Amino acid sequence: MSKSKNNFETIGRLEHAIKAYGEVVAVSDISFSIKRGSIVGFIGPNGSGKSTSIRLLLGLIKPQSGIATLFGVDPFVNSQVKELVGYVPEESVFPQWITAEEYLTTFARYHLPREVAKRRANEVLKEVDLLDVANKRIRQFSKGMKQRMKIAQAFIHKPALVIGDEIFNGLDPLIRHNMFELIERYRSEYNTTFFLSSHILFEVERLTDKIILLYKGRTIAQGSPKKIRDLIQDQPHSIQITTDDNTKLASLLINYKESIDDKTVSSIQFQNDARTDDKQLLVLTHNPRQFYEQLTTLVVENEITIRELRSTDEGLENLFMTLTTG
Amino acid sequence: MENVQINTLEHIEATLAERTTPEIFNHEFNQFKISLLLAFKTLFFSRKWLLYAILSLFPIALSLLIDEKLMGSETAEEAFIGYYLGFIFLLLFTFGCLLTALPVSSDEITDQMMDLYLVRPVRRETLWAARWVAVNVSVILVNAILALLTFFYFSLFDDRGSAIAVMSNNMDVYWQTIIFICLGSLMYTGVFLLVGIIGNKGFTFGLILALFEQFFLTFLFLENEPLIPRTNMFNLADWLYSDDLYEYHQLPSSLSVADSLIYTVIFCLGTFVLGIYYVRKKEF
Repeated sequence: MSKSKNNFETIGRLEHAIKAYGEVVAVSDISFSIKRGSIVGFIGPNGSGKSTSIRLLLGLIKPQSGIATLFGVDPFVNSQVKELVGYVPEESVFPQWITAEEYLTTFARYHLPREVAKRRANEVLKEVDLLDVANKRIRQFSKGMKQRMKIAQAFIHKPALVIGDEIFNGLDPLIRHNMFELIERYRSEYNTTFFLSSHILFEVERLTDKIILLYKGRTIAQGSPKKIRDLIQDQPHSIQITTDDNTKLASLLINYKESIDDKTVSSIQFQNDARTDDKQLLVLTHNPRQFYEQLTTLVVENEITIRELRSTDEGLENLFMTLTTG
Repeated sequence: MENVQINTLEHIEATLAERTTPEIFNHEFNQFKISLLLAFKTLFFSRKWLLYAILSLFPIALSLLIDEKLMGSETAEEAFIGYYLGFIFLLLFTFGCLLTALPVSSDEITDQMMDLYLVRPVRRETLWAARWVAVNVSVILVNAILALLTFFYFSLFDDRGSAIAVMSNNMDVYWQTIIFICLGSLMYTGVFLLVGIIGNKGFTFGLILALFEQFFLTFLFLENEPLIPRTNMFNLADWLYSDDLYEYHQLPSSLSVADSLIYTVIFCLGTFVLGIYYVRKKEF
C-alpha cells in the first residue's frame, strides 16, 4: 500500500474502464469518481453496464483496460480496503438455512468483534424494522423484507462507502421512505458515502448530490440532480402496480386523476405482468414523487394491499435515446 | 468501533494502515475461522452429502432384500472391506467428493453468494483454504460415519459373537479404513473443489472428470499406471490392510508404498496451491 499522504477526497474511481465478456462489451470507456461524504446516483436502463461497473469497483472483476480504485488502491488484490465498504447486491442472495440475526452476526464478524457484531445486528435490524423477525429464517421473508436484510448487512459495520445495486427495488413506498431516511441519517451521523445504482432516476434523485447517467456501457452525462432533472423533465415515468384489488385502485386513481392535474396521473391502463401473467395497472406520471405520496395515502386509507410496485425505465430509455442520438 | 470517529480521514487511514506481521496473522486467522464456520454450515445444510450417503447405502439395502447380509463373505470385516473398497471407493468416492465440494464452490458462484464473501475484508486465499479444509473434513466425517454404520451392520450378522464384540475385536480394520478415507480425501477433494470453483459448469466438468478417472483411466487405457491417483490409492490399501483381508494383484512392481504416499502428498499440495493461484486470478 502506498505510504504517500492521501486526503481521500475521491474514494472510488473508474477511469476509462473497459470490460467485455467475449464479444459483448459490458462497459466501454467509463469514467467517474465518488467524492467522500457524497451520495451518488448511478442511473441507466437495464443492461447499460451498472452492475459491471459496480463489480469493477468492488474488485470482483478486473477491467481489461483502464483503472478501478477504491480508497486509492486496486480492490481486486487488496482485501483490507473492503473493511471500509458495504455492498447491497441486486439479487437476494442468502444462505437458505440462516436466520436474520445469525446471518448479520456471522457475516459482520469479518469486520467486527463477536460482541459488537451481535449488538450491531440487533441495532441494524431495528433500523430496518425487522427486529421482530430476527429469529426467523430469511428464506421465509417477503421480497421487501429480503431487500431490507440486504441493506442491513451492508450497514452493520458502519462502512465509509455503501455501494448499492438497485437498492430500492421491491420496496413499497413507505419502506422506501424509511430507507431514504436511514441513508440520510447514516450520511449525517457517520459521513457515509453512498453509490446507488438504479434504472429509475426518480428513485434516487431526491437523495443524491450527483447523478451519473450510463447508457450502453458509457457515461453519457454527470451532474447535479437538477441538471439531470432538466434533461429528463419531459419524459413520462411508468409504474407497474399489482394489488389485491386492481379495479378498486384504478377507480380511486381515475377519480383522483379527475381532481388533480394530468401530470401526476397521466394515464392508467390494465395489463398482464409479462413475468407472472398477473393482472396489473400501468400508470404513467410526469410527477412521480407526487404520485407516490398520493398512492401511499390512497392505499392506506382504502386498505388496499400492494403486492408489487415496479418502476419501468421506459422514460429513461427515451431520454437516453435523445441524449445519444442528439 | 465506538471510540473511533467513523469515516473521518483518520479512520480511513487507520483502517488502511500497513499491519505488523502478528496483526496480519491474527486477522487472517480470525477470517479463516469465520470462513470455516460458514463453509461447514453451508455444507451441512446443503444436504448434498446426504445424497452420497443414500447412494452408498444402496448395496446394504440390496443385501437385505436378497438375504445375503454379508454379501457372500464369511466374516464382517471381509464383507466390510469388500463393500468399502469394492463398491464405495471403486464407484462412488470421487462422486462423493464432487457432491460435497459443490455447495461451497460452484453453487455459491452460480447463486452469487460468493460475492458476499469477496466484498468482505478476507483474502481470496483464506476463503479457498477454509473451503478446502471444510470439504476435506466433511468428506472424511461422512465416510467415517458411513463406514462405522456399515461395519456395525455387517457385524450384526457375523456368527462369531455379538455385534459389539465382533466390532471391538476388529476395530483395527475400521481405523485402517479411516486412514484410507483421509488419504482418499486428500487425493480427490482439492481437485473437485478446484473444478467447482470454475463456476456454473463446475458440476458438469466435475462429473466428466470423475467419469474419466473412473472408467477411462482406471479401467481402460491407463489402468494400473503409477501416475494415476487410483493406482496409488489401491497400493495404499494394499499396504494398510492385511493380505488375508485385501490384496490388489495388479500393482506395478516399481510402485512402493513410499512412492504412493509421496504421490498423495504432492498431488494434494499441488491442487491446493493451484487452487490458491486460480482464485487469486479468477474474476467472479
